[in-house]
Amino acid sequence: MSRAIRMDLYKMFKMKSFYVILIVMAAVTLWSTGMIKAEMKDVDEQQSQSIEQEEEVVNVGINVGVSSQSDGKFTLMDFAFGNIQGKVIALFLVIFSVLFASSDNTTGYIKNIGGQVSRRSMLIISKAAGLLVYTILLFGIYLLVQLVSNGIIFGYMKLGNVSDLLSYIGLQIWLHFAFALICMAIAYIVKNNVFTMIVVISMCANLMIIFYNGIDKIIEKAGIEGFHMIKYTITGRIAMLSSQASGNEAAGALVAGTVVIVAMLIVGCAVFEKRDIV
Amino acid sequence: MSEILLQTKGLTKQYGRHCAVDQVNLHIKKGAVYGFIGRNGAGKTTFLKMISGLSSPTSGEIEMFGYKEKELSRVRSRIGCLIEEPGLYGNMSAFENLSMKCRLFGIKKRDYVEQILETIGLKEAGKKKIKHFSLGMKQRLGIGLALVGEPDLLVLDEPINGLDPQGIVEVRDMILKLSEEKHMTIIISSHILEELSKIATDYGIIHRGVLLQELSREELMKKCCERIEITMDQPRQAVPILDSMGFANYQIVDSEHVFIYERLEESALLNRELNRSDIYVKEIKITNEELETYFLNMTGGANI
Repeated sequence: MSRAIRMDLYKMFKMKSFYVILIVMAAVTLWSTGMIKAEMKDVDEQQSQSIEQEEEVVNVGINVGVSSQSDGKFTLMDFAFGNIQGKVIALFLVIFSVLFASSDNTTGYIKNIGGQVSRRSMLIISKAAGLLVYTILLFGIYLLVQLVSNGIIFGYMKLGNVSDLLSYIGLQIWLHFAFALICMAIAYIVKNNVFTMIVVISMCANLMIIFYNGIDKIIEKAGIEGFHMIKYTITGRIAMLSSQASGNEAAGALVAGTVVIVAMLIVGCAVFEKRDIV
Repeated sequence: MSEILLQTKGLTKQYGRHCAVDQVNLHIKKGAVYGFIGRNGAGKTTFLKMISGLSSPTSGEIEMFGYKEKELSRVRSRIGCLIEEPGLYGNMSAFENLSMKCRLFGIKKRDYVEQILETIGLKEAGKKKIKHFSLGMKQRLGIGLALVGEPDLLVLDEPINGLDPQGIVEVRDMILKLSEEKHMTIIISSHILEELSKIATDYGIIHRGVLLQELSREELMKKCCERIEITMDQPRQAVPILDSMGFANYQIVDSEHVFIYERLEESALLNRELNRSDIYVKEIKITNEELETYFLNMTGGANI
């Protein structure tokens, strides 16, 4: 197993897309921080609007709302919360996840190794390990770039409450990792990168809300009031996790993430073991 | 007698109603270079994928290195394969593609990748990106990937497809070297029968998923080589004449034909002796059957 993980980590660091996506994310982070400053005049109005929207409306599309939590100065936590909640980081993660998960099949390299391992499922687990490493790196690099961007654009670098930041980021890394494995599972089941990419980007852009609303209506007609499908999805958890999550909320996020991770690994392994490598 | 390294019993692969491989019983001896021949769509690649663990059989059994069924997973790492076109990461170099597989196998030996590059004749191109490789170079790298881990069985599916004459010679020499120096057992499928005849020690002919025949090189050569063919009513009448003239290597093929595999220059003399003994010959000729013709006849027609 460790050998397969070493192989996939080696592969990951040799892929061009690994670096391109990180560079684009860094550029977008710097650019969006600049845009926030450019809109400073309307910050208060945007803050009240974004608070209302968080509570009552889920927008379709990728929306980033940043509000200052203390003394009018933006902290790293403020920006991280806005970008993560808006699934900007998730967007970059899912694109890489699809490319990385399907790379062996796309190139045909799987034919060199698929028949020689004692259990094919180890190749799925090694890919998952690679995606976990990438998720951590992505968040690490994002936070660093965001901090530096704040310094460049606003002239100061404030972390905010470090323990809140660390626990929030830790939970989000787990949820994002679960999301990455959903992408991997879809990529393996569907075996079509274009379709997979469309689905996962739609999930980031909240397009699935149309589907979730349909389910909500069906369940409401069955007599269950107040049910919202989105609360039970990983993307919903990512969007709704608060910056100062209570014990229950944090436990709920951890459990949801863990359940999805285990389920996606089981599905991915089962599909890959049974299916012929063509 | 060489031990059997790989054998299949009733191996079948069904896709819906189409039977791509149908009850194949194949035997490969240890150390053999087994030429697997068949027309396009005969089932060669499907069969080789099952052997290589890339595809699971619908029914039947594979026995390899003395292991079968679930125990096969123990010996899968002893097989190296190149199936169809090589699967390579285009943005990586040959060295990197090989290094990846070395990591999977836990190979940490220094210069291991360099040794493989040298074996496949790509020592100078190790750092070049695959997207700049020619087809022949990619094929050789594909073989190199199959060699990682020192396999005991090498499965090559049409490794000389699309190669120029020099590329074909290089791959042929490489296969011969692996067979002679490393005593590797090799199964190789190809359309280019003349090339296969230069390296294969045994042959299997597959047609429409069915293994028609297995034969050794000697048996095949005997069927194809130059000979005197005599057509007559009762070939057994020729036997005393042949014996008295000292012919030993001959065969009564059927009720009308005798094949003689030696002293082809004495065909006129033989004809005279048969006539002197009042044995009437309908036809006497020197002929041979080309390899392609033999296989085409086996598989019933046009293009292999």
